[in-house]
Amino acid sequence: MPPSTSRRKFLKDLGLTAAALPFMMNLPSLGFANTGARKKRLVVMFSPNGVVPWNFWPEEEGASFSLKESLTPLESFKDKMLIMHGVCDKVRGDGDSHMRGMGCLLTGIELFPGNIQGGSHTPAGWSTGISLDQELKTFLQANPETRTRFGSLEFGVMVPDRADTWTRMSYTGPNKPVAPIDDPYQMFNKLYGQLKDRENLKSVLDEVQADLLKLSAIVSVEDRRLLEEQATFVREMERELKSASASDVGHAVPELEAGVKEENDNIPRISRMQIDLIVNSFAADFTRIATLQYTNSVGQAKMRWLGIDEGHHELSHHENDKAESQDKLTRINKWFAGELAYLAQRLSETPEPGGTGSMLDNTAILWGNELGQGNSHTLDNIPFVMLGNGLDFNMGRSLKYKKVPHNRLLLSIAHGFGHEIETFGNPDFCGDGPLTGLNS
Amino acid sequence: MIHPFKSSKSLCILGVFVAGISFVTKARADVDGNLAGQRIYEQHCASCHGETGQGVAEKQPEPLVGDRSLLDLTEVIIDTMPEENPDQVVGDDAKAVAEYIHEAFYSPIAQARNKPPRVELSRLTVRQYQNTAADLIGGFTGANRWDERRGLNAEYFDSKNTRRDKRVIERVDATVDLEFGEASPDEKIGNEEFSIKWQGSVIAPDTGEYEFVVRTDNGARLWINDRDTALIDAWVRSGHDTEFRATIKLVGGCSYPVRLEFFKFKEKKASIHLLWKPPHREVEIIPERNLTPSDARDTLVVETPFPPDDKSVGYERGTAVSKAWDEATTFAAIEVANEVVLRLRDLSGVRQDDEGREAKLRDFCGKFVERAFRRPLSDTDRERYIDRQFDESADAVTAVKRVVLLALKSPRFLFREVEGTNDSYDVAARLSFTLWDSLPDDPLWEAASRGELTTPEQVSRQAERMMQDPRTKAKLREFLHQWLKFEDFEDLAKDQELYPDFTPELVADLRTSLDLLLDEVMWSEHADFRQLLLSNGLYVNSRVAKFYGIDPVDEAAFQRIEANPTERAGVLTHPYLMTGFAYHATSSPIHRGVFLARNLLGRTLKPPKEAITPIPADLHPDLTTRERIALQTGPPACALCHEMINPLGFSMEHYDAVGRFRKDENNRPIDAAGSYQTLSGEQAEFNGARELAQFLAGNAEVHAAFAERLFQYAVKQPVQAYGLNKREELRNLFVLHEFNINKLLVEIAKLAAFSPPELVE
Repeated sequence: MPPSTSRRKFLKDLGLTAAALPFMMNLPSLGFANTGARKKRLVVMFSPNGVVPWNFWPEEEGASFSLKESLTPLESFKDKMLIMHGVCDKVRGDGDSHMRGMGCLLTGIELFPGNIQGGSHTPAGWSTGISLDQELKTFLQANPETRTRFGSLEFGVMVPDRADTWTRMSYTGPNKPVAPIDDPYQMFNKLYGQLKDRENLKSVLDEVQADLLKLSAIVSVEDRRLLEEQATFVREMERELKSASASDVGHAVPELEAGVKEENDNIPRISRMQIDLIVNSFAADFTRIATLQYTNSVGQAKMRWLGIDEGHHELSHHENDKAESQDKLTRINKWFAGELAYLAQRLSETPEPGGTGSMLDNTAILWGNELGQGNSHTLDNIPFVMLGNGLDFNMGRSLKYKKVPHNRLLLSIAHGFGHEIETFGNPDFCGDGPLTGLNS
Repeated sequence: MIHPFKSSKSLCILGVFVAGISFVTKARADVDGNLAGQRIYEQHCASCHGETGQGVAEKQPEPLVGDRSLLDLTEVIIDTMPEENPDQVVGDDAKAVAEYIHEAFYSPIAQARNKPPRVELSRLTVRQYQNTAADLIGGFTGANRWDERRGLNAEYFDSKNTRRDKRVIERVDATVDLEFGEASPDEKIGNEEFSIKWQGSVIAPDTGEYEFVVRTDNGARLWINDRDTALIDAWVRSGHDTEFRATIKLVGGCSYPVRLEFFKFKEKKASIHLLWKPPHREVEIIPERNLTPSDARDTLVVETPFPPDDKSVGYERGTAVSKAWDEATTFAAIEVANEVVLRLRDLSGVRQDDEGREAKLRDFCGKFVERAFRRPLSDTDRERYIDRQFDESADAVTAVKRVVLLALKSPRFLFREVEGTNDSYDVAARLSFTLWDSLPDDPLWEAASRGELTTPEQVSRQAERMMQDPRTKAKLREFLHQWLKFEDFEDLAKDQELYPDFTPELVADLRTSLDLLLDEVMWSEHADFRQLLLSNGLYVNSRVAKFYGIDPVDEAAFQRIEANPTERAGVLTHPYLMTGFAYHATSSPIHRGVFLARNLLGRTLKPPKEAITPIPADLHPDLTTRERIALQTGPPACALCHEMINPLGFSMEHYDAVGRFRKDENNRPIDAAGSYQTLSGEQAEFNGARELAQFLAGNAEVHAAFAERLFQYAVKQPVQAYGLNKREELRNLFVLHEFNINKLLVEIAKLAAFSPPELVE
């Protein structure tokens, strides 16, 4: 386990607060019971620094289209995808494009003025509003039918260990950023730590009993009473643990590869570990909302496993005519598409617990980015791709919009969950309601 | 009617008896001489109560023991005994039989003599668990120590980044309380952008929840007792938020690493303030005295809540277990196990890719369990506690977790000296628990392993060394807080019409003021108990000075003044105590008298069977408080105790409900004449608190009571369990050491170090 993880953070993740402790002992199941009604889930996947437009957007519009190089790993999911060209982040105000691109991606509203200075524009602070994932979490948690143990889980992959506008996309409210967990072991502990603790505890209680017995024999008669009482309590705990274990989590606890360090070259392994944990959390119904954030806005992953030694952000500044750089950027985005494909694959292979079809049939994945293209820092044509049938959109199409605000896409997703709000984020960008043409 | 009594402050006392064991010899002589009483007992009482009052099944199975006074007992016999014919034993017969019963087996002293208190097997108290867990982990990283320096190391940078090449100032700042406006901190620094870093440690005065507060117009981060993750991350200034708060639990008497980083970038104004709200206090700038530039390591503070210890005998003790306690130990064990695994590399020094990692981790676990059990492991132990866990676990980290869980759930960890080997390791453990409420440190462990804890001199040397440790100071401070009943003074509030300036902030200041006086006496060279009662010192800041009509003090910081010796005397007349032992709008001679009787003179007062509501002051507007109390406690049943309580309390009538000195009440001069009849029968008279303090400081019964109280607090066993003469012995040693409290504690540690628990034959 990495030594850098903070104890306080760890305890918080575990829910190991004073009030939660007894919870652990008599938990019939770490998940919640399935409720029969159809489940709807959302994964928001983020990758940074824009895309190479000519290697990303299909030429065609409609159901008949072919994938460009960046998206080729998704070929087998073509009929479950929507590729949405022309959706733009129109939010302006304080902060440079990378900051607004990140802080407004899921909030659709301006940043506060602040003290964080980007490469241009004015300094800014946190977002002034809640993000869509947290809005939907609140919506689902308010209803006992859709309430889950965590409500939402925020995954990360190699997110820098600092909290600023570039490293946070999820907000529970104005000035309330949510830190993603980018350490799979820490996430595993959050999901299964109590279960493991229980197992370990069970394994040592026999020895404790033996100890008490042995010592009872050597202390005085008066003092023996105290140890015997203690032995009774230990026996009671053993019994409680046994009865609790009968109905544990109801699914196989995943085994994580041990000792994967949090470092650049392990990004591919960490990514797969996190994706596996997302799939497990969905299968156990720990949550129905997840975010998966690769690095950060302006992320500097060095994808040496693709033979690329430069940092991602640095490359993204290179001009359109630098063919080698554009090729590398295309391969980088293709790698991200491959991770999306792995997630989709895992979900499609997993039958929906207590329902019909696969989990992918009940999940919507939204892949987004803080920029349209890296070297221009444009917030137009954010590379939005949706995958999965969770929201009953009419999938399998390439859509071309005419510079519509992305708030409308956020609204569409909310409505897809049955959360029929009229505006989300800055209302000025919600005038025409949810995006048209998603269902038809 | 409002009922002003807290259960701990009930006033009508039905029974009085003396706790002094010095009476034992005298009582025994009386028993031998009281043949008449014995004959009456055998004739009329023994058939139901048994020959020695042990009880008779199917008749009166309850043993005939209690703590009624002789007088009280006599009256009960006259009125009700024998049950079939209460007229049979009356008059002189009743008196004689009562004397016999009382002295032969009934009274607490007789009980102690007939069945001497013993050293009972005890589990760790909550405080001991907390400290032991912290030191168990701390043993692998080194303990936190600090020197005399105060304030924090500060580095100022002419850049928004804390880059070493931009550092222009290095100094120690007393506090962090800076309002720059549009200016820069120094002429060498521009005002467009700059940054500052403060580092050192923060000394926590009490155990509990601390709220830290950062106020800034700019960006700042604060780390407390966690070098990796900021407690407050306000680096991103956003919108109008300028105040950031977070709470963390700290254990009193320890230091914790603190780091504060601050930067300004292009904003118009700049400011940074570091505040806290410690337990029992209000929000304040963290004072210089609680900051030190000394370095510190992260300390484990167990967050698992424990049920409170039994304190019914006046000190926390661990002679009982409960399901809630056992559960708490389980959750705490899980908490510590997770902590160990999280910090495994740091604690064990074993890296993930070390060759022979597992063998090294087994060694680490061996050391961990030895520390936890306070003794070396045998080969069999090592097989059970270490090797078996590793052999049965899928991976080394799981094995470490299991070892920690097993160790911390084991009775060898949870109970004190449970194996009863009574060797040098037991001596070491007794020493460290007496002085620190924690496990032995390395030097003590080494002394035990070399067999150098076998003579009183060797033990003395260790105890004297250990006295210098901050943990001893923390323990002594908590002892004084209990002695002075600080726990009764939560949420002090007074009549706002009479005392509009009596605010929570003032109460917090008063507590600090008294703490400073305690520190001064305790950490002076002589640590003279008498000075606690007689010192003229008073610590005031401007708020305290203003409220108590003391000459203006300029700064917010506390400073020592010499109080008028006729108006103040040591801790007893300190406004915090006088305010605490008082009602909403009036003084309370009864609370003050009960406190003096119990906590200074060592008298045992039983609470009343029913609480009495005091007569409201406005019912008798022309009476003084003294007259009103005398009126209410006049009836004989009350007078039994109040004859002792009232004259003690009356001597403090110069202090009103907020502890201000007053010369009159209701336009009538204060009558502060008081008196007390000592156990040896001499009548002491005193007028006012200064004379009272002089009487107490010179009284042998007060000295013995203090020594006994300190013994029981430190050792958590009754002093009589170590020998019926030990109370007197400690008093003599206290005198010999000229009332030096630190030396008394060393004597206590020595006394307790060698006494074994009883073993099965």
